[in-house]
Amino acid sequence: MLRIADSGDESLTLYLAEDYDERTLALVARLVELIRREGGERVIDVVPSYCSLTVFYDPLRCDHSEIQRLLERCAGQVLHDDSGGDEQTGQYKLVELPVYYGEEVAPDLGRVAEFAGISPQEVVNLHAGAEYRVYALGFRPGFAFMGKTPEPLRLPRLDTPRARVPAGSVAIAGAQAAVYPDSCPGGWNLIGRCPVTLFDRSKNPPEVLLAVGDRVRFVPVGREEFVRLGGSLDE
Amino acid sequence: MALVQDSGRPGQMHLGVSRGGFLDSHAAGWANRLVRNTPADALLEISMGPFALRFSAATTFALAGAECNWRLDGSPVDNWAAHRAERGSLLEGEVARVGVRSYLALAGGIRTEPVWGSRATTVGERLGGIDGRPLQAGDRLPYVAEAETLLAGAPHEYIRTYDEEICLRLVPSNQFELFSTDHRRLLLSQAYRLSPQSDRMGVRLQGEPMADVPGNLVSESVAPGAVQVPSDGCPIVLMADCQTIGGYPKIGHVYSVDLDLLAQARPGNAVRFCLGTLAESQELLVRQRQFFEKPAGGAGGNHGG
Repeated sequence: MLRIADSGDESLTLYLAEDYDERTLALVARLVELIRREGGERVIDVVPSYCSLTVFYDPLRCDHSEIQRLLERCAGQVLHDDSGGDEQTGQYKLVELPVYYGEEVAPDLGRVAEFAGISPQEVVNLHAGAEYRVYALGFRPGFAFMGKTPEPLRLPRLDTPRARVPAGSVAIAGAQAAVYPDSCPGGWNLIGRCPVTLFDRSKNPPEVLLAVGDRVRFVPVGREEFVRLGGSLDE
Repeated sequence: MALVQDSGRPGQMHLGVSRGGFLDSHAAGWANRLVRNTPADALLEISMGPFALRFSAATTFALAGAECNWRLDGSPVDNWAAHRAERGSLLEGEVARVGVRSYLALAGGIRTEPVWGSRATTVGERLGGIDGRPLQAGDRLPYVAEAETLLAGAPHEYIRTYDEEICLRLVPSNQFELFSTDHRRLLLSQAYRLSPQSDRMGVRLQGEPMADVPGNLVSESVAPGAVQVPSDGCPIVLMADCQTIGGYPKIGHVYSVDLDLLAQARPGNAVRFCLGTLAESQELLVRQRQFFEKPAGGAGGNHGG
C-alpha cells in the first residue's frame, strides 16, 4: 500500500502501510536516509512516524511535482531492495535505559498490575524483559514513541491527563512506551523513572538521545543507583 | 505576552521540535522590512499588550500589526512605519484596539542566542528567545546600535486593519477524502467563532459540530495550517508552535498566507472556510517569501510609501 498525499503548502506525505511493525519501520528508516541524500538542499526535513513519512521541502527551490517524483523514485528503490522483512536491526543503536520502579515514582504500577492480573514485580519483569523500537519522535522535543509494550500491560491511557508528569517518568499506554524528557502534562500510565537525559538543553543545539529505528531496553535499578546516576525523586 | 520571534526552526521536526516562529508573516515581514531586516532577523511579537521598552542605544525601529496606540517618549508614533529612537527613549504600547499581535523590529535584529539557527521562542519547549520564556519586566535584549537611516512606512495597500470576520482558503489535502459530503458542507457553510482556548499551538473553532467524524489515525507528521477535526467535531487550525506528530484526522490545510489573518483574529470573531487549491496557496506563499527575503531598497516599500 503505497500512497502519496498532499499534507501542506510545503510537504508531501508517503504512506507505506496501514499499521506499523518492525518491517515497516525498517522501510521508513531506510527511506528517510535515501530521501535526505537524494533531496539535498530542496529538502528541509523528513519526519518519520510509524507507517508514514513526511517530506518538508522549500517551495522557493523546487516544486511539488518534483518532490512527488523524488518520493516515488526513492520508494520504488527501497521497496525493490527490500529482502522481505529480514531487516538488519544491528545497524540501529541499542540504548539501555536504567529505570527505578519504586512506588514513590510509579503511581500507576498498581493499576497496571491489577489490569494484567499479575504482581507489580511481574509487571516490572515484563516491561524490562522486552526490547522496544523507536517508531516516532514527537509530542515534545526528544519524546520517543516506542513499541510494542508486552500484551498483558496494555492498559489504555488515563481518561483525564495529569497536569504535570515529572521529567524522566517511564510510561506506557496501550502498545506504546515512552520516557518523558521534560516535566509536562501527560495522560500515560507512570510505572517508574529514568535518570538519563533524553533532551539535553545544556548543549546548543540540544542533544537528542533517541532516533527513529533505535532499539531500547529498560534495565531495573535500585533507588541508590537511580540517584547516583543523577535521577531526581522530587515531585 | 511578548516573545522573541523570527521565521522559526523548520528543520528539526524529526526530533519532535516545532517549527515555531512569528504567527503573522505579513506584519512581522513588514516590521523587519522597514528596518531593512529579513524574516530571519529576530523581532518582538507582542500579544494584546500593554508593553513598554526603553532603548539602551540609539537605533531605528519599526512597528506593524495590531493597533496599540504606540507612543515614543509620550508622542504618538505611526504603526506600519519606521522611527528613530535615541538612547534612553521610552516606547509604550497600550492593550491592542484592533488585531492581536503587534511586531516591533529593531535594525539589525535582536541578538539573543540562536538554537538550531533560530531565535524563535517556543514556550512549551522552553527553546529560543530568553531561556525559552516570554519576556519579563526587567529583561535586557541585546541589539546593535544603528546609524540613522531613511525612515518610511509601508505603502497603503499593504497596511491591514483586521476585520471581525475572516475567510480562510482551504486546500482539500490530507484526509479530506475521509470526510463525508455533510462534513464538508458544514465546514464550508458556517461562520465559526474563534474560541478563547486558542494559543500559538492551535486555534480552536466553535460552531455546529460535525457528527461521526473519521476515527483517529496512526500518528503521522502534522504541520502549521493543518485543520484537525477531533471526535468532538469542532475544527482546530494548527499554528506555528503545534506538535510535530498527531493522530486526529485532518480535513485539509489552510493557505499559509491566510494564517496571517487568523493570527490577528480575536476570541469570538467569525471564521469561515472556502475551498482553494494547492497551486494558488503555494504561489501566494512563494510570492510572500520572495518579497520579504529581498531586503528593501529604501527603508520602506518599493515605492516610498
